[in-house]
Amino acid sequence: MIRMLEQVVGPVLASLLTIMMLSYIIGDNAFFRLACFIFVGVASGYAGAIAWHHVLWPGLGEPFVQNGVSTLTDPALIVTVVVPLVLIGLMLFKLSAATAPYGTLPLALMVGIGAGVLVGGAITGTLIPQSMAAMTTLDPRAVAPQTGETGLERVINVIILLAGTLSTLMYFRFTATRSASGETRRTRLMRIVASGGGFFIALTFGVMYAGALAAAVIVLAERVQFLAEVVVNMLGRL
Amino acid sequence: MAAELRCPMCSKLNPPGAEECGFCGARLRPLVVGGEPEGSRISADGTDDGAEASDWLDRMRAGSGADEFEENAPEDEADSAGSPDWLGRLREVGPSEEGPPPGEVPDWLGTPKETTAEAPGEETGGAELAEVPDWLSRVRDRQAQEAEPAWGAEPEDGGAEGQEDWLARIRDGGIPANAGPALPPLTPDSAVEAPTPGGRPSPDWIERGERLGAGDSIEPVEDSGLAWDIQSGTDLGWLEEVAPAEGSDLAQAGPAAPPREGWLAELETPSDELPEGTGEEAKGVEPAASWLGNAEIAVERPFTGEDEEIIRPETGEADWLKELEVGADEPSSWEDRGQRKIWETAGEGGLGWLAEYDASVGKKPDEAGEPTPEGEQLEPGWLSEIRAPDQVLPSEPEAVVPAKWEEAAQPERTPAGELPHVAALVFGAQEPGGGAQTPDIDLSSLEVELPDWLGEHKAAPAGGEPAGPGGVDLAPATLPAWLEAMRPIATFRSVVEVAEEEEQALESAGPLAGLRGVLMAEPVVAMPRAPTIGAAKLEVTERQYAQAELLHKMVEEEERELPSADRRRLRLPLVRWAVSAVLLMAVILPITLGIPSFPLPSQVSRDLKPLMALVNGLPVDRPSLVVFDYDPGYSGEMNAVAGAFIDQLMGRGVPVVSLSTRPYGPALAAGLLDRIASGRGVPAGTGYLHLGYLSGGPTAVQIFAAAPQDAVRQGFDLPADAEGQAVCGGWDCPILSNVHRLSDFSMVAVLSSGTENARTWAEQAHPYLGQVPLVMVLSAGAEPLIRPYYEALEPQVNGILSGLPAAVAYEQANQLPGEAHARWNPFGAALMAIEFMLAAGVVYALARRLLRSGRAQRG
Amino acid sequence: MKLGAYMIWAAVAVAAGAIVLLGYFTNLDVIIGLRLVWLVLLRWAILLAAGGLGIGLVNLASVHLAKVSEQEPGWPYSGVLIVFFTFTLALGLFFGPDSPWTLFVFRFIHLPLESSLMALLAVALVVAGVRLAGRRRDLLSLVFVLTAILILLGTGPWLIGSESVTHERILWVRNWVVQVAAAGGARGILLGVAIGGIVTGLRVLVAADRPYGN
Repeated sequence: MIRMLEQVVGPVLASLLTIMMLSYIIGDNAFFRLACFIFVGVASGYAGAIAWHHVLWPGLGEPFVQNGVSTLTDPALIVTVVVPLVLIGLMLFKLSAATAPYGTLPLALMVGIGAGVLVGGAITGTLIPQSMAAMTTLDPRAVAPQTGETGLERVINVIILLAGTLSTLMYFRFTATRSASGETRRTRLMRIVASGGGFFIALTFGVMYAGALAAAVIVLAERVQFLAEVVVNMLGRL
Repeated sequence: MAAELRCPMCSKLNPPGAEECGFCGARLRPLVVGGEPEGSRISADGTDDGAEASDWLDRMRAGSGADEFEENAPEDEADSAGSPDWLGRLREVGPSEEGPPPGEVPDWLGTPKETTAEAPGEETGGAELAEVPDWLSRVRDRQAQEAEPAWGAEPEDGGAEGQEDWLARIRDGGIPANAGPALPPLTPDSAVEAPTPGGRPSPDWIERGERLGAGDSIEPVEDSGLAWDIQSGTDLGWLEEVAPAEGSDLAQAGPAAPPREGWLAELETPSDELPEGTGEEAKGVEPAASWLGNAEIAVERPFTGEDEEIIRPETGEADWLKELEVGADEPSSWEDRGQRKIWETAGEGGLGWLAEYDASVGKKPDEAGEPTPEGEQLEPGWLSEIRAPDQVLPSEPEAVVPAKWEEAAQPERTPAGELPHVAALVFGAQEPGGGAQTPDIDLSSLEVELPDWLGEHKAAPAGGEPAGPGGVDLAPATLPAWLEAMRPIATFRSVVEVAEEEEQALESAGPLAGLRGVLMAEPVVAMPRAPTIGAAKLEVTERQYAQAELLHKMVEEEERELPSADRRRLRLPLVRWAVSAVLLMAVILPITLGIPSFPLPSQVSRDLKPLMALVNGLPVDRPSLVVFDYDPGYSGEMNAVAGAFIDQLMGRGVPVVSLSTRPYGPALAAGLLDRIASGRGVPAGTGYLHLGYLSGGPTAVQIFAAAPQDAVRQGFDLPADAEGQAVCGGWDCPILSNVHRLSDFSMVAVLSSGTENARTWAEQAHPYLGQVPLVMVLSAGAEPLIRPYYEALEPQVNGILSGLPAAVAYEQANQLPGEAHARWNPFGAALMAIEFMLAAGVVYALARRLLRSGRAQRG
Repeated sequence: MKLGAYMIWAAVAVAAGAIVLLGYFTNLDVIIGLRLVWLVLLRWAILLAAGGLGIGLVNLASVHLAKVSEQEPGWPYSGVLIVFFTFTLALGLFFGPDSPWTLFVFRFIHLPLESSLMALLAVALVVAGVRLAGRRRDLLSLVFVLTAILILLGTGPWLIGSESVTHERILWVRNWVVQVAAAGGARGILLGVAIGGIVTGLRVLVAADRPYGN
C-alpha cells in the first residue's frame, strides 16, 4: 500500500504541488497561495509531532509512565522532570495577554541560558580564534595550509586579508565626533578605511550572492528533473 | 390648595403665602397704604385666592363695593376667551408695584371724598368721561387695521387727554356709559371689537381681575406687545383696589358719556362698529376699569422711573375682559424668554404708589447702602433694575421726568381731576385727527383689542414736559442699544425708541464696566470676582498656530472626498517572465534533450584533496557523526553535494550516525542515508543510525557536545526486526556502544545550507572535539563565511566541501557518479544563462547612464 | 529602590546565564555540584525549547482558527492550513514522525513544496541582480554584481573554452577572490557578528535588556 503510494500517488501529488508553487512565475494566484498554506500546515504539524516524540515525551512523559508517583518524590526526577513540566505549564500562560506575566519565569530561564551559550560560544569559538588566526597570518614562516602559497604571494594575500578584516570592522564603527558647526562626521582616516571596508563587504556579499544563486539553480534543476521523471514514469506506465 | 403666586420680576411661581419671591427676592405683592390688600388674587389655576389679595386696588374696591367685582369675576372669566395677548400677560404685581400705599387712594381713581385725601402733589388722574379721548379714538381706529403693537411708539396725540377722560370718569363716578371699554376677549388674532351695541362697556376690568384672581389665567397674546401675566395668583396690585363703588357709580353713568375710543372700544365691539357710549356702560360697569379688571398691564419697556402718570383703569364691567380666555392665549415670546416685564400702570400724576417699594432693590452695590430718603417713594426692584442708573425715581411727582417714549406718548400732562396718562403701546403713529400728541403706544400693530383709554392715550409732548402738579406722565421707555439688539420680536423694533447712547447710564463696575444701558444687577451678582482657572486668556504662539492650522488641514483632508483613483495599469512582470523562461529553457534542454553538455571540471579545488584524504583516513571502528542541519528546500543541492561525501564514507565502511538540530533533519537524513545505504548494501543499525532530533539550537549543541547521551533520548527510524520491533533504542545500539562523548566519534560532519548552523557547531563543539576532525559540507552560499574557520593556522574546521563543482569533482575522484553529475549540465546551462543576463543588465545600466550623462552635457 | 517582579526574573536570567557562561571558561568540577547545575540548566533549556515550539504551534492554530470562525478575508486558506496541520500532527503523533505514512507526507508534500519555493528563489535572485545595476548606480553595487559574475564564471562550467587559459585565469581569480579578498571581508563580518552577539548577550546577562518581559 505504502509502496504503491510512494510510486504513483506520491510523485503525482508532488508534481502537482511543485507546479502550483512554480506558478508564481506567472504571477500571484490562488494555486500558489494554496500551496503556501498547505506547506505551512504540513511543516508545523510535522514539527510538532517530532518535537513531541523526540523531546517532550522522552524527557517528560516517559519518566512519569515509568516511575509513576515516585516521580514526585525522587529529587532527581523532580529536578529533571517535574520542574521542566511546571515551567512548560507556566509558559502556557503566555498564550493570553492577561496571564502573560505568569509565564515570565521560563522565558527568563531560556533567555538567560541562551545568552550565556551565545556569549560563551562567540568568545571562545569566534572572537578569540579568529583574532588569533588574523594575527598568526603575519608570521612569515607560516604556509597557507590549504592554499599552499608561500613567500611574497602569501604576504600579499595576508596583507589583503588583514586589510579586509580590519576595514570591514571599521566600516561598522559609527563613532564620530561633533565638529564646531554641529556636524557629526568621522575622521578622514576612518572614512577612508571604512570605504575600503565597504569594498570588501561588497566583494564578500557578491561571492555569497553567487553561491546562493548557484544553489538555487541547482534546486531548480532538481525540481525540473523531478517533474521530467514523473512525466516519463507516468508515460511509461501508460 | 391655595393658588401659587407668580413673581412679577422673574415670573416664577411662589407659595401662596409668600411675601417675597424665593428666586429673586422681589415682593410678590405691592405695598399699599393701609395694610394688606383684600380681595381676590389671580392665581395660576385661576382660582380666586381672596385671602391673599392685598393690593391697593382691593382696598379701594372694598371701599366702593367689592361684591360687584366678585360677581362679575366669573363672567369675566367666561368671557375671557379670545382676549388679546396683552391681557393674557397680566401678571401679579407685587405689593411694591402696586399703587398708593394702603389707605391712600390715588386721586385719579378715588371718589371726591377720596380725592381730598390725596396728598398734594400726587398725581391725580381724572378724566372727563364726557367724551372719548382722542387718543383712545385713534387707538381704536388703528386697531381696526389690526396693526401690530409697536412698542415705543409715540402715543397718539391727545392720548393723555383721552386717558384722563376715562380716568376722570372713574374718579368722579360719572363715567359715561361708553367711558370704559367693553372689550371683547383678547385673542392673538382678534380684532378689537366694538362694544356691545346699546351698552356702555362696563369697567369690569377690576371685576375680571377678581375673577382672574379667583382662577382665571389670561395668557398673553403672542406678539401683542403687552404681557398680561395673571397666572398663578398674580397680584393685580392697584387694579384690584379700584373701588367697586366707582364701578357702580360708573355703572350708573348715563349715556352722555363719550364713546370710548381706540382699542378699548374696539375690544367691546368690532373695530368699525364702535359706538359711543355703548358697551360696558350699559351694563353699569365703569368702562375704563372693566377691561382691566384685576389684571395688570405689563408693558415691555424699561422702566425709567418717570412713569408717574398712571392710568387707572375704570371700574366696572368690561365685556372684553369677560371674554378673556383662561390660558387661551399663548405666552408672549418675550415672556418665554424670561424677559422681565415691567408693570406699568396707567395713571396720572405722581408715582406715589411706588413709595412703598424697596428703594435698595435694583440699585448698584454702591448705592445699596444708601438709606432711603424720608418720604422717598420706593420703587420695585424690577423697576429700578431696568431704570437707568442716573434716573432717579423722584419723590415728588413733579420731579418725574418721563422717558422719551412716554413723553411722546404723553403729549400733555393729565390735568388735575383727570385720569392719569397711560403710556401708549405704540409710538410713532399719528392719529387721524392730527394733534401734536402722539399715542404712547402704537396699537396699530396689535392684534388684540386694547382698552380705549390705553390705545388713545396721548403721548406727552415731544419736549417731554414734566408732569404738572396735577399729573404725571410716564416717560417713554428707552431701551439701551444692546438690549434693543436682543429684542426678539421684530414688530416692536421699529417703534421702540432706543435711548441714545449718551443718555444711557455708564456701568462703572463689574465685568460690564464701560457699557451703557446695563441692567442693574443684584449686589451679589455685580460683585467683581476673580476669574476662574479656565478664564485665562489663551496665548497661542506661532508654532502652535501653525500646528493647529496643520491639524485643521489634516482634518479637512480627511473629510474631503478623494476622487476615485484611476485604475492602475496592470504592470506585467516582463523581466520576471523573461528570466524565468530563459532559466527554464536552460534547465529543461539539458535534462530532456541532453544539450548543451558541459565538460566536467578538470581542475580540482585545493580544498578537495585534504578532505578526501581526511575521509580516507577515518577509522572504521568508530562511527562518524553526520549532522543534517539543512532545510528541505536545499535538499536538491545538499543531497547532490553531501551524497558524494556520505557515499565515500559508507563506501569505506565507516558507520554513520545522523543527528539534526532541525525538526526536518531526521527525515532528510533518513531519506539520504537510506538511499545511499541501499545502494551500498549497508545495513541499518550497524552501518548507519539515526539519533533523531535535538531541540534547542546552540544550547542543544552545547549539551550534546558535553553529554551526548543526556541530550538525545530517542532515535529516529530505528532498525526493526521482522516483527517490526525496534532492535535498539539509540544509544544502546551496537554502533554507539563505544560512544560516550563527542570525541568518541571519528569525525563530525555538519551538512548545512546556512552559515548560522555551521558556525554554531564550530563554536560550540570545537572545545569538546579534541582531535576529532570537523568537516563542513556546505551550500555554495554559506561557504564564504565558514572559510575563515577553515583557513587558519589552528583551524576549527578541518575540511570543507561546498558547491556542485566540488561535489562533481568528489564523485569523479571516487569514480562514483551520483546526483552531482546529474545536475551538472542543467547547472552549467543555467549558470551560463544567468551570467549573460547579469552581464546584459550591467551593460544596459552603464549604457543608459552614459547616454544620460551625455545628454545632460549636451543639453 | 522599589522591589518589583522584574527583578526576580532578571535575577533568574542572570544567574542561569552566569552559570552557563562559567562552563566555557572554567572547569565546573572545581565547585561541587556546579556541573550538575550546569547540565540541569541546559537540559531545561532543551525541554523548554521544545515546549516553546509546541506553544508556538498552538498559537498558530488558534490564529487561523479564529480567522476561519470570523470568516476574515482569506479564511479558506486558513481552513486548508488547519486541515493539513491537524492531519499531519495526528499522523505524526499516532504513527510517529518516522512512520512511513508520516514520511510519505514529508517526502511528497513538504519536500516538493519547500524545494519549489527554493527554486523560485533562483528566478528572484536573477531578476534582482539584473535590476541592481540599473537602479543603484554606485560603485559598490557595481562591485557586487561584477563579483557575482566573476564567481559564477569561475564556478560554472564553460561550454566552450573550458580548457583555455582564460578559463584558468578566471578560475584563479575566482579562487583568489573567494579565498583571500572575500575571506578578509568574511572574517571581518564574522568578528563583527561575534562582537555584536557578545554585546547583546552581555546586556541580557547584566539585566540591561529584558526581552522576557517584566
